[in-house]
Amino acid sequence: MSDAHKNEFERIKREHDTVVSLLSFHAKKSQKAKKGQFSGLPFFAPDIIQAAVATANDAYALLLMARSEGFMRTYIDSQGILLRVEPTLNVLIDKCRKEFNNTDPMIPIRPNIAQDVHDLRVQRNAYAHGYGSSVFPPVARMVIILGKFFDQLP
Amino acid sequence: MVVLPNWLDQLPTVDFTPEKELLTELEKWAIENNWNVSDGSSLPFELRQRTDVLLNKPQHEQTIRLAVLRKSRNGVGVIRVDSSNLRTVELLYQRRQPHWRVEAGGVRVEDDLRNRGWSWLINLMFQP
Repeated sequence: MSDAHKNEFERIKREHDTVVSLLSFHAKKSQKAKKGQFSGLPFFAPDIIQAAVATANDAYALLLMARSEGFMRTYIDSQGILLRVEPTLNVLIDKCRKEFNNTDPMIPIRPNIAQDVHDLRVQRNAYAHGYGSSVFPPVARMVIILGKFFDQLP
Repeated sequence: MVVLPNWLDQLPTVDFTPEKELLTELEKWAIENNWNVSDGSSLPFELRQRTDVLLNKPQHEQTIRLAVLRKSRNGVGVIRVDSSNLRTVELLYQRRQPHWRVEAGGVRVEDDLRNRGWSWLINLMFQP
């Protein structure tokens, strides 16, 4: 993976992990406060903290997808390909894979790797269009899935 | 089955049979082991939006939320499992074998859930 992809995905994961660590810290302190042990921190309802962790995952998952879409568009541009209309993510994933594999790389992007990214696209679309009961994988796993796709791209 | 997420049957081109079978198996185990099973409608909005099946043990203040992730037609079946102590585990369907792999943060914990069973998974979520 190029440093640009790798650094950006790692930066996003690190930021997400920091947010979740802080929320977990407050969750533990809140439990102590509830049991009557002084923690020096206000009490937060466990449900609210769980919801905040879930929302944080979704927010950083969306950020990862947005950055990935940008990287894909940049790659297509760098190949001198002019897409007349704004491409959908669906088109970008397939176009990126096709164009990259046409360069006869040592390690092509395999269908199952593109398929996993398509699944993330489906999850993003479901989430963006307000369907309930649809969540992303954990951010750490998303970084692995997207990392495999961008692994060979320049 | 106590709870069947109805949206699984509303996507005619995508087959969620393995997910439905696994949830059925889990719900049976949960009832036998004194967990309350529901669709999560009692949860606050943001958690309810991300929950298909809720397991709840009020006396221990333990809850487990399960969510079937969306997938494309040939996509990998994934069930996300979140516990009330903020741990997350994923169950990934391996179509060729076929079995469910257990992963945490993208790291494989167990290749086949059936090797260890549901009690092991739930203990894993709540062990200190």
